[in-house]
Amino acid sequence: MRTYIIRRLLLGVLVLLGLTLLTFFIARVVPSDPAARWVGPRATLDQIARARVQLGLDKPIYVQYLRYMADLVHGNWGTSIVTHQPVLRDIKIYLPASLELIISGMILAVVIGIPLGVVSAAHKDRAIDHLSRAFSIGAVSLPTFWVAMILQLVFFGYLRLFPLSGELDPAIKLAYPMHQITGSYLFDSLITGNWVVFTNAFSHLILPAVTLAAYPLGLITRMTRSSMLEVLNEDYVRVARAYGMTERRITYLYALKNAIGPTVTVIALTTAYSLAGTFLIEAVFNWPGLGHYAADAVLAADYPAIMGVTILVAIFYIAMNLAVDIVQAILDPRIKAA
Amino acid sequence: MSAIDLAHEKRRSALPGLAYGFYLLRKNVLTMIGLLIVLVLILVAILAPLVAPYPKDASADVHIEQRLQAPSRSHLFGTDEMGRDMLSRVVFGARISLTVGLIAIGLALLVGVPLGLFAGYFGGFIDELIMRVTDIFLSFPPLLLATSIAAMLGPSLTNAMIAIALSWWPWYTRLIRGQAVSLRERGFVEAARAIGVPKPRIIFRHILPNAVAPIVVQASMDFGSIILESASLSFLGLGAQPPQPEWGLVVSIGRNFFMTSWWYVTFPGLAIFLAVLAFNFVGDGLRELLDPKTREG
Amino acid sequence: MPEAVLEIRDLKVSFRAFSGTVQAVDIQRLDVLPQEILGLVGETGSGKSVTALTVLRLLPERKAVIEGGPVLFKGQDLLTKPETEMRKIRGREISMIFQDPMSSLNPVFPVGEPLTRIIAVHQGVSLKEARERALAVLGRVHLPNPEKILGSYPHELSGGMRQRVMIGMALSSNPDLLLADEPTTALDVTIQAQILRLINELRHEIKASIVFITHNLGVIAKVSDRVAVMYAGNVVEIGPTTEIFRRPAHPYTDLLLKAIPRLGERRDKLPVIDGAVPVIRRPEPVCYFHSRCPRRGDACREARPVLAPVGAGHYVACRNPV
Repeated sequence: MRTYIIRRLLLGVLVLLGLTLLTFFIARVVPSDPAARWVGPRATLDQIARARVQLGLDKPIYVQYLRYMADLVHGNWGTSIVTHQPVLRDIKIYLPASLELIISGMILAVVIGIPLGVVSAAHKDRAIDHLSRAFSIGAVSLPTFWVAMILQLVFFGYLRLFPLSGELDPAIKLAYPMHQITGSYLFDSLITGNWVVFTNAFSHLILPAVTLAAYPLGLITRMTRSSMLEVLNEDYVRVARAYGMTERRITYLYALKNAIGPTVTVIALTTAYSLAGTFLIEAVFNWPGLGHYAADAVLAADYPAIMGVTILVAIFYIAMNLAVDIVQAILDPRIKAA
Repeated sequence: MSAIDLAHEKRRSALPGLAYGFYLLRKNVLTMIGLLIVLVLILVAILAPLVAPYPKDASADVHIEQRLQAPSRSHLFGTDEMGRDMLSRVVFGARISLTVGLIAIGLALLVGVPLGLFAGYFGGFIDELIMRVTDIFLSFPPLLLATSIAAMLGPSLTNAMIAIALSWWPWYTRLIRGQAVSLRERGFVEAARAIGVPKPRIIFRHILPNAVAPIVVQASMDFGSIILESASLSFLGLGAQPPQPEWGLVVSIGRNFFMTSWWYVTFPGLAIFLAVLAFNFVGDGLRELLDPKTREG
Repeated sequence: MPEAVLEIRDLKVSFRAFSGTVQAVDIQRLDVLPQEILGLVGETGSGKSVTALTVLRLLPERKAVIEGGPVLFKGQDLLTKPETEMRKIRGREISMIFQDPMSSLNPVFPVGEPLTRIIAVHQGVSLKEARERALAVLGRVHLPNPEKILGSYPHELSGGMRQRVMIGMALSSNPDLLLADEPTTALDVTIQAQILRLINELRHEIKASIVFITHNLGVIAKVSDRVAVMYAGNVVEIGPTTEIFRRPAHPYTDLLLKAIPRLGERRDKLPVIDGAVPVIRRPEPVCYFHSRCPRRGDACREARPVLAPVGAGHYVACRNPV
């Protein structure tokens, strides 16, 4: 088991290296000149040339790459061409809002998705199964940007239940200057017991979180259903029945613990993808998350920012994969032995 | 769906017999509904000039006196800020989405299939190299990857298709590699090798034809996701350009008006949703059909 | 004759499938007597296991059609019992052991989890008390170091140990009837003998009746008091073991016994029964063995033979017995 995890870790590092190489290369092939961008549209040729030297853009490309890698390891992730701030600092500002959104959305998806998948499998080919399948396929078929707008239309436009966008009302932000602990208004206000900020942040979170939950919810439901279907055919399930165990106990304990593995993988991977993959949702809800930052960087060809986000996403992805391996080993003792 | 595949690289079995396959599909209500919608969609796309009430409104026509009208008998889906009939634009949008989907998948296959064949057939270093590259591509949120590529190539529908293909090919490489690895050991391939058939010929004449069925199935299962991705790129302004009636683009422009004109984003968005849903319903039926574990006697 | 623990009358079980309905069991009459071991033999697909699963009502409701009956257990019809009542019977009054102890045990729980839980549920004791009793059960099936076994996962135990655990689980609540479905088939020959000895030993302790399902006549000869032979879902012959082995009356039983190779006997060719067990899509009033039977006559295709006595407690369903 330990060697397996070490192997996975090394593989992860390899993927990470490859990824930096790839994004670095792509970013440098971008037709627009980063140095010209850096100094702005009114700069003289001389200023551009100086910026080029300053940014190290005059060196051979492999030197630039090595220098970039050395900087990375030392925590210097470059400076964003758009914000003119260190990329790592930008990330620190945008990450909490992203995590807040992802965690709440994923909790929603897991809490609904797993039971729904289980019920669906336990009643295969009956009405409730058809409904749950239609629902879960529907959930993965939704264009998120559209759902976001429809939710805004209904819950803000017509019902006036939730705010349109953002993560906190500007007035509240001014009235209650928060001491930043985690950087997330929701968690910080919860920790400090500031209920005005908390309820406001919470009501801002609901629509984006529901939108974000849709896709993973569909995936989790489908994955749980299909692996439960497999497990419910196993001998030990029949044995449990033959010994008078209740259907509820058999389904939710004996079968589910066997079936949950692939679902855990799906949860981890979609969480990893969500870190920067939810930029459409963040755009519509004007949510100050990492996806928003990444999309802006992409559209502005802000290559230090792009690479910073890319590396963060890759690290997160590798970490999630490792977490999956560990959770699987806890769930299934046979993995530990192998 | 991509995450499912990643989590669960299922062995795909041979297709079941036709009669039995049809029996299973028919039992699957959702698949039948999906097939029906897909057929309607294809018909609408082909017959768009006949179906659309105002075919000219699909392009840059302007009737400023009819701008932003709510749905009525003459404009079932209402009109946009140029006074164009929304229904006609949605109908013509079907053409764009289906075409883009087909071409993008075709391009992804064009890249992914040969690489998968090489990786699986040759093994060793080539295999390692190709598969690690797919790992890198797959460790990135697919939409963000496509967005980055599209942003680099510049906004246009063609570039969006290329971007989608470039973010999607690794799935096919993985699938085909698995097929090629198992086919490589099969008798007819060994026999071909033994009598000295050249390698390219073995790969493309002996292995590829036997891997076609799973490719076609996987591609049709992916169609919904591809349509969704292309709509998303257009929504970001990286795909279709005005005045094209591409659904994602129309929703994007509608963002400026949707609080006062609900129909503007509702109908084109619904069109995206229904199209993706229909293809996913069909794909789900196919998946069930191919998975022996959920099959029953 | 003492009153039977289990009485099966006119039981028909069939399965719905894509290709149509297939009949798996059609038993006119089968009794299990108190404290006996009844060997149920037959080829794969002859309906032995389905019969056992029907008694416990474990067949998938949507696919299996059960007709006829009753199936009386201690005088009460199991086929009409509500599910909640059945749950109290399963594992407590009627237990079942399955063929493969590996797949019978849940791979992601220590074997003590189900064992303790079953004892707690059926005997109405606390989990702590149930654990004590589970340890005693493991001792009773001669497993060394019960403490350690209780916390072990199935993959950490050997095949024989796993089956001992299963047997312990089956007998933990002193059932009146034990259905043992090929309990030794998946095990090594030496382990088989140990398990057979264990079953024999425990049945005297517990005073349970046992239905021992197997396709292995050698095993049947060793353990059972009476033998019932099944063919194509029918019980074609039933009688005391010695009687059946000495004077088989049904041509099928006769051929089966002749097919057993014996030590010290030289034969150039093992006799085989030509043909295969028929798949019954539409039940007909015939003897299903007639197509393979060396003693068939025209009458065999005209009516269904009925179980009739040919000796003391020995019944056969054949027009033209050996």
